[in-house]
Amino acid sequence: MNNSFLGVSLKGEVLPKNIVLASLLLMFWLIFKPSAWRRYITNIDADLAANFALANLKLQHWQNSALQKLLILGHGLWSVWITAIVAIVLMLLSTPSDKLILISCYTLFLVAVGGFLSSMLVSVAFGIIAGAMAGLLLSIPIAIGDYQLEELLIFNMVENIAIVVLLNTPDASNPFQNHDNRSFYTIILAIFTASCAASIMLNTKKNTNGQKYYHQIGSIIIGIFVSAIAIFIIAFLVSILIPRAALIDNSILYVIAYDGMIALLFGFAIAIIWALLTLRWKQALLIGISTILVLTIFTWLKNDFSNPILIGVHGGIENAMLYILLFAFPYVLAKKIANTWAGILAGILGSAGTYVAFVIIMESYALTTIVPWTILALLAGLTINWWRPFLLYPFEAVWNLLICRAYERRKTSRIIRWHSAFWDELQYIPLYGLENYLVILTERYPTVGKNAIEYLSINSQRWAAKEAQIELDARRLQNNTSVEGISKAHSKLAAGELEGPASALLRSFSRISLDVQAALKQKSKYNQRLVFNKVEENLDGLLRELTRSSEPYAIRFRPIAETWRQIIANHIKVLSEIVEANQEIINPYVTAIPLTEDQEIFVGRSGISERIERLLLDKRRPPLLLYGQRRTGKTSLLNNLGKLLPTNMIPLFVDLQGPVSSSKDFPGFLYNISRAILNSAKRHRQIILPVLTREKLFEDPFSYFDEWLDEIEEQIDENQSLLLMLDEFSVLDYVLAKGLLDEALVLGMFRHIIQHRPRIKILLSDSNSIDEFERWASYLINVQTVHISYLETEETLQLIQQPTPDFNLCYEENACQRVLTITRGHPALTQYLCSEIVNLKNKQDISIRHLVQISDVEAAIPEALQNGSFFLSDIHKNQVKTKTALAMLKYIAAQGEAAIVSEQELKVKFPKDFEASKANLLQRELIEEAGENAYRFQVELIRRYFI
Amino acid sequence: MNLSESLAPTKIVSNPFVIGNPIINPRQFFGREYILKRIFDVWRTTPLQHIAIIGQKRSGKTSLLHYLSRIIDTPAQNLRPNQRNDWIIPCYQWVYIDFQDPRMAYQESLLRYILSKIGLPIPQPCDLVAFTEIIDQYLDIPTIILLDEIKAGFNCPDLDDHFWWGMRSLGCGGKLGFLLTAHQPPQEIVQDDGKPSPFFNIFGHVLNLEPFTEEEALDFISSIPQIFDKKEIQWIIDNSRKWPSLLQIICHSRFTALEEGKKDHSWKIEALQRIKPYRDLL
Repeated sequence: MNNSFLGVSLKGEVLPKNIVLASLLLMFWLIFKPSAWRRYITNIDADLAANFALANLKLQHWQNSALQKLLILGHGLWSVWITAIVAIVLMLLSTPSDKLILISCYTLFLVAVGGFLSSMLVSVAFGIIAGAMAGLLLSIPIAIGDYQLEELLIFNMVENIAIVVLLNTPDASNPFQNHDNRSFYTIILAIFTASCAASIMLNTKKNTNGQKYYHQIGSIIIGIFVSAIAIFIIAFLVSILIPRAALIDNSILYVIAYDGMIALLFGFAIAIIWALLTLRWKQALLIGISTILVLTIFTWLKNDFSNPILIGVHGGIENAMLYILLFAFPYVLAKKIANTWAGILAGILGSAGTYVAFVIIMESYALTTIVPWTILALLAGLTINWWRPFLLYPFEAVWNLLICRAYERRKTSRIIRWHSAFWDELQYIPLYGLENYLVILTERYPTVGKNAIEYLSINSQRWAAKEAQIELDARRLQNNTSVEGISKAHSKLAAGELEGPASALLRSFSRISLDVQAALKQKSKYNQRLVFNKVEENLDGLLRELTRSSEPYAIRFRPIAETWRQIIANHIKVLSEIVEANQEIINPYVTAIPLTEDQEIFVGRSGISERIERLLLDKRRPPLLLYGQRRTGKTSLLNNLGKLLPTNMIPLFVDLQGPVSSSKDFPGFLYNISRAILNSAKRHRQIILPVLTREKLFEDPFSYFDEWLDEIEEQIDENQSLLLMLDEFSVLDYVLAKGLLDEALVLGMFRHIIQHRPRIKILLSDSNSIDEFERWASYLINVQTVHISYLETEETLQLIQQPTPDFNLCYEENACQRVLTITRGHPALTQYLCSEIVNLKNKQDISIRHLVQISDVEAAIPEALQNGSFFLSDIHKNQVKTKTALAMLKYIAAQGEAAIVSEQELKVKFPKDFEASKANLLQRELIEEAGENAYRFQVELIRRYFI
Repeated sequence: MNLSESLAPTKIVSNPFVIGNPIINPRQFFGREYILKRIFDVWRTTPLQHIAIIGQKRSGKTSLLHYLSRIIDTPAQNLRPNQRNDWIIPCYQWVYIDFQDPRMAYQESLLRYILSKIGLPIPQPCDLVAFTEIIDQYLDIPTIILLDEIKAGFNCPDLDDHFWWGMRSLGCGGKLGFLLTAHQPPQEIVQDDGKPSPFFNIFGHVLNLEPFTEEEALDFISSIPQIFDKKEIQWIIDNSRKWPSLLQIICHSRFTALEEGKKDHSWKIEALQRIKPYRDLL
């Protein structure tokens, strides 16, 4: 990620050369921008943790100038700043000069020693913050009240603990028993300081596993446990020392004893802690001894000279050590066992616990007074990352407004870095208006804006980055005014990768863009148009969704989808014109498979559907048989009855060639019928019927099926009825004949339906009449036959000339009549011939392509016969039953088009099986009577096959 | 240096002509432009209609099927220059069924194979009813099933009437398109051992696989430039009658002769000998 727009090098943060600015920036990083602190530390050593302590350093680190600068600024210069601030405050409070000097010296050494010691044992980040805060918060209270110089540092925590311990004089005069508020404030503020510093230290550590600190229950328990142990150890040590101290009643010995005890204790503590941290016992011993020496020297100097400077220095050193060691000991223990968070809790609770225990022992404050304030201070410190941004938010809001105004005036991208989103990483409250700012910035300075969005996408203002990205993507999508633009849009969409409601929307646009790109790659304009049609469909779907949706993004993106749709529609129009210009005729004909209700090419049959409708209204409820030769359009009609019949009639189509006849048993048979019924009701009338499960049917098939029919009848409207259409019932007959299904069960069920369910009508469909199936005739009585054959003339002409609304082939009158004559309106044969006419015309020159002449019709006949060869061969092989019948057919065919042959002539030629053969040919509608005792072919095209 | 010299024995160049096996690599497939156009014109729109390819043995039916199943999804860089692959949009699925494969002789394994090829769930057991349910429920991509040598399929006892009725029923749905090949004309296929076979009634497009056109034959022969001289080319065309398989055999013989550095006309005798078994084509 390029952070150069923030003036920061990619390699790591760099402190300015000006040490004043550098020290301020350092503190700024810790409080506001922990990532900068992390980068600075990474620059020192990539393996160094951001919350490193001095104990973690190796020799080479100490030689690093960046680290040296850090320590000098953090502990050296900040000691000076804090001291200066305290001194100024004290001056403003008109503090006497000796007090001022004492407190200033105290502050200086409290900050320096406390900070450095914290950096050694806890972490440098902790040390800098704790030192500074302790210097401010724990020094100024000392000046409160009217105390003599000698009494000032009677508030010295260390001395007071020592006095109590050594003298064991609970009734001796000491400030605690006087309920000196300064001690109370100090304890509370110390707890607050430690908690704050700990929170800020935790900020520097990147929480890679995403688990919130208060979720780390194990760590919390360990922290509390260790702090309790620490308090116990301290209390134990104190209890051992008390009896011995009571023996001392010599004042010199007393001074040597308690000063010595303090120095020893501190030295020992530092050594132990250092050893625990580094496992270097020799080093630890050295540090311990050095500590003892330094403390002893300063103690001796203070005792001997007793001037404000030395008192202050000594007090600062001792208190710093006390505060830090009380924190560090439990911290290091708990951190060793668990982790940093456990250590922090142990440190805070351990040190706070010790203070609280001490004041309670001294009966200075009741438990009910000190504990709530302790808890408050603790929580206030630990929650600094919550209330600090909250308190600063109004000021940041004003500041950001001013920055935006400045940006608008100067229009320079460098001003962006001053927006609080880029320097206050911990501000969790949304900075409203940031998203608009980012959009404006990105539009003017794309690279800077992109970097800014990237930067923000991983911090607490990521919402603004997401919103800005979405808006930018929306604007990019909106700016596409051409198909080429749309095809490239997907490569520029970034927000689709983000989580959120808009990303699904943007992915839809991205997919559409990819589809457009794929379409443009098609070489053929025809194929391009096909793909664009699909794109247009997808855009329609998207628009419908956006119109229905109440999501805020829907309003934003709807106009974009509309614009895209318009562009695509216009392009389709252009492509259509090009295709038209290339002028290949699209072949709309569908041969050999049934037409569904979706195909526009289905024509006519209104007469037949009216007859069916009349019969369905017959109160006697006869079963119907749709009877017609193969390929006369029975199944196509059944598929389209949904459109032809009134809506109160629910067509239920069952293809008996499908799974129904493949059923292994009666339950399976009923189950497959039920599935077909469900699909059909949904398809034709958009009615969802209850589902019949296979398991139920196995228990008692007929009963459950009957009950299921009851449910269906209850569900539909009272004025509605069901038309159960069983197509290709000869297949079922075959199955029954083979004994694969029980005839009595199956046919009995149908009979039951006919007899007892007035709202369910049955229609069978086949190319065989019911008389040809004896078993059916006995179950289905009074079957009414609806005969389907050739299309009416008008219907045929429509099929020839205008099969679909955009069909662009014209027929000369005689060509059209020729097709009609040759096919006689046979639906399949008309389609075969017209389909081949289209193929033929497409091979011709454009100048004659769009007009069909009679020669074209004749030229298309051989191919039409070839395409229809399976159908015609089926007639030849399977429907013409005898050799005599075939011979007769061929004979009549050989006589020529429309030739009429007398019966007499045929009898003479074919005496054997004449009547049966004639009946066969008549039944199969291959020939018809032409006058008295004369016959001819019904369809010319069929005749040509038999030549 | 001309190619004949470059094909001297010191050079290792593999014979580019394929004999015996069907053409699998689209790049090696030539001709059939008219048939391809007719086929893809039918499948360009839905409902998918069904096509029968009738051709004698060795007329190139299987090669055509392999080509159909591959060409649309083959990128242009893997094809010859000007070889079309944009007949239809590339969103179709293709399943090639060779009924000589033993797995295709049984309903369960055949149906399982089809479902696995098109990435649909395979039910247990995988019978026709379950197969139909899966197709109805899940199939939403136009799918073409290429049935090579349909007669062999009808000779499989396990692929009974119910099976073919079921296939017919599926074929009427519009989502599945069938293409079958046969070397018998429809009137011989339609009746199988005296039983009508309704499956064929849904095939409304019947195309005969004829020899190459002159242009296609020349295009094929010229695919390896400068190998054959004009007389040789004419001889090849005349004797092969432009049947692709015979063209391959004869060209293969010629190429081998050139590789071996033979300058006489013995290759012609050898070629004629090799095409003798395929006299039916001639």
